[in-house]
Amino acid sequence: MQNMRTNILLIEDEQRIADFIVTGFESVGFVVHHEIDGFRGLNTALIKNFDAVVLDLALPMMDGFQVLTEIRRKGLSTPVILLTAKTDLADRLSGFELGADDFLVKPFFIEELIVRVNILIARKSGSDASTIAQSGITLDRFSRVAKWGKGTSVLTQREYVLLECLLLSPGQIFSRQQILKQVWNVDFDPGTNVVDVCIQRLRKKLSNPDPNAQEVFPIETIRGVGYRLNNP
Amino acid sequence: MAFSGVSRLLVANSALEPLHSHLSEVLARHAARELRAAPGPVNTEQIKGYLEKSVDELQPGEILVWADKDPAISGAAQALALALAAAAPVWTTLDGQSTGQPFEMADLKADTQDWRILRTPIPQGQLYVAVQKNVLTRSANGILQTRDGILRNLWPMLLVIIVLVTVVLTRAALKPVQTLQNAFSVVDIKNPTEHISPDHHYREFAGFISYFNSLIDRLRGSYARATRFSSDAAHELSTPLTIIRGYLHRLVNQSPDGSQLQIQLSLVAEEVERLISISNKLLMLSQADAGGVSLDMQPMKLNDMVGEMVDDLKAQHRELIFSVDMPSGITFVADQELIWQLTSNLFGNAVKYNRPQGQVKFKARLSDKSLVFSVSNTTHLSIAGLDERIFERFYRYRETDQQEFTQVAGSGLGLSLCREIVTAHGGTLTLNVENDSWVTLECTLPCRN
Repeated sequence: MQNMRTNILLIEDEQRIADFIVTGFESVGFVVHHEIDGFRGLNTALIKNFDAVVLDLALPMMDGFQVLTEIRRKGLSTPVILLTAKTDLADRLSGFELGADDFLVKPFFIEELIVRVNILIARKSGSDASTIAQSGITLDRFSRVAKWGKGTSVLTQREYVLLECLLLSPGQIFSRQQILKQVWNVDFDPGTNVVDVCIQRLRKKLSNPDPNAQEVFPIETIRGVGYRLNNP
Repeated sequence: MAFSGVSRLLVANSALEPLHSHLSEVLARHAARELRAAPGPVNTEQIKGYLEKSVDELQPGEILVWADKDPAISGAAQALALALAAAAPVWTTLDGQSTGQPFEMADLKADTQDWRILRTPIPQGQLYVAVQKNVLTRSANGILQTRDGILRNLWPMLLVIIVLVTVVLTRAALKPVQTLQNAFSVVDIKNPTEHISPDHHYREFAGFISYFNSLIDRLRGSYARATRFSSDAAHELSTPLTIIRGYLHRLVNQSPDGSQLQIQLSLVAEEVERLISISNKLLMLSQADAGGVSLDMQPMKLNDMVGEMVDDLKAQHRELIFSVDMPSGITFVADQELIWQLTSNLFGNAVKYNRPQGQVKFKARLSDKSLVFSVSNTTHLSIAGLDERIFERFYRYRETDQQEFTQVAGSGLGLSLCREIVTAHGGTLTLNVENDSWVTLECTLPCRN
């Protein structure tokens, strides 16, 4: 992945959210520059080079839409991901119209934000690889074919999204609810075990048919918590 | 009938005499007309025949007609003429104007019979018309009975007319009120500027209308405040919730795998998820209240969506039987994400409240005008108390009052959210409970082209 000193600009007035985002990005090796209002944020965006901009919509001085408009007007094509507390469709649509690349509604998972920023940067740099490789698993984005060791299997849409989600954030524990939200887009469903069922299917599909194989499948169950793709 | 009683009374007493006089006059008038009609020698038989015809139900011998020096005078007439001559009663002159001929009348009692005798001059001397008084009484009674009959027959008709007139008058009087009521009923509470204009209504209503307008303004005010409150609350909650969730996740990641601490933290994280979910639902409901959810209308494939959902559910709930009944290739235009949420909520309920080894049925049909789909399930709940309230916010169905809320999963917002989603699409969501313990939620969405 492209986290070698990836440089991103965060424009967010809420200090606590900003701290949380900054530490989240730093933990995966990003360099984050934080500005607390739209005006400073725009200035910094225009002066320095960033791989991506994370932009809150409700900002003092200039709101997120104005900042975005200015960034695009100056000809900068840096990927911009918008953060908003509103689920308003109108906001989302005008965001995309003004040249935003992605949109995330608060409250969001920091892992999801990082994954999306990574995807935007990869797309921008043209290194939007058709395969993702992590912890010995490779996943073809177009054919949905996953490989692990000697096991090869074509995944269903759900299995694919689930595996992609884990592959893009190795070492992170995903709770069932988090996976439900990111893969099934289900808000909250305490009773369901759809995630466990899907993970079991993935394991079964990719596991080595040879029972004596020594390799341990990299998706680990953290008892009572969730799942994690282990870093090699 | 009261009328007949009164009539009888009239006939029996003082009213009898004027009636007798009147009838006597009528007879005299008839006789006079007959005299005028046949000039020349007077034919008493002819006059008698004519007079008999003019009185109903006459018995023979109750009218006698004779003339002075009449050679063919009948026996009865002759006897009466003799009695008359002997009694020499007092003659009263009738009003000559109505008869056109001078008439006199007198009463005579002969052979236990009361007679009224009329006389008028004719060329031969006098023409006598004698009539038994009971004929007159009978005739008077007949007239009174006819009058009573008319009243009796008229009575129901009169009632009908009174009722009709009342209805028409009430309608006319209530029409302005009705118009006003119609105007009230179309006022849109969500439109902040819509009021009832007093110009189109009676001036008398002006005070009432302005009161209504101020009332609706106040209502709008509190409505807007309530809506803004839940929207603001949800917004304000999103920041701390994001932070709490974020740090919790970090802590979960940092704590030793499988440790008690990690498990407890993830339990807290789950509760935070629940909070976030409620806050999201409240936000959406408040948007719906504030004048509608904005829809991102896109063509979507129902079969794919439902197929995917049912596959997931089958994998999770092997103990339940799922069946899908819908024609292939249903495509319709709607907000994909919302419809997804709606359907997933409906399925979620169908599974959550099902009984062991129960069933879930999905049915859909598409017509030119609408898409109707339903999710039905068997249930372990007693369905007697299931009703429209399930669409209320925070309502949770309990079989008994003793049942704890904690026994029932969910936030109590799901179905009200479902209904808002359907309403936003211009459709309806209804609950059907069948007595063989099937619960169906049916959604009708209008088709847009």
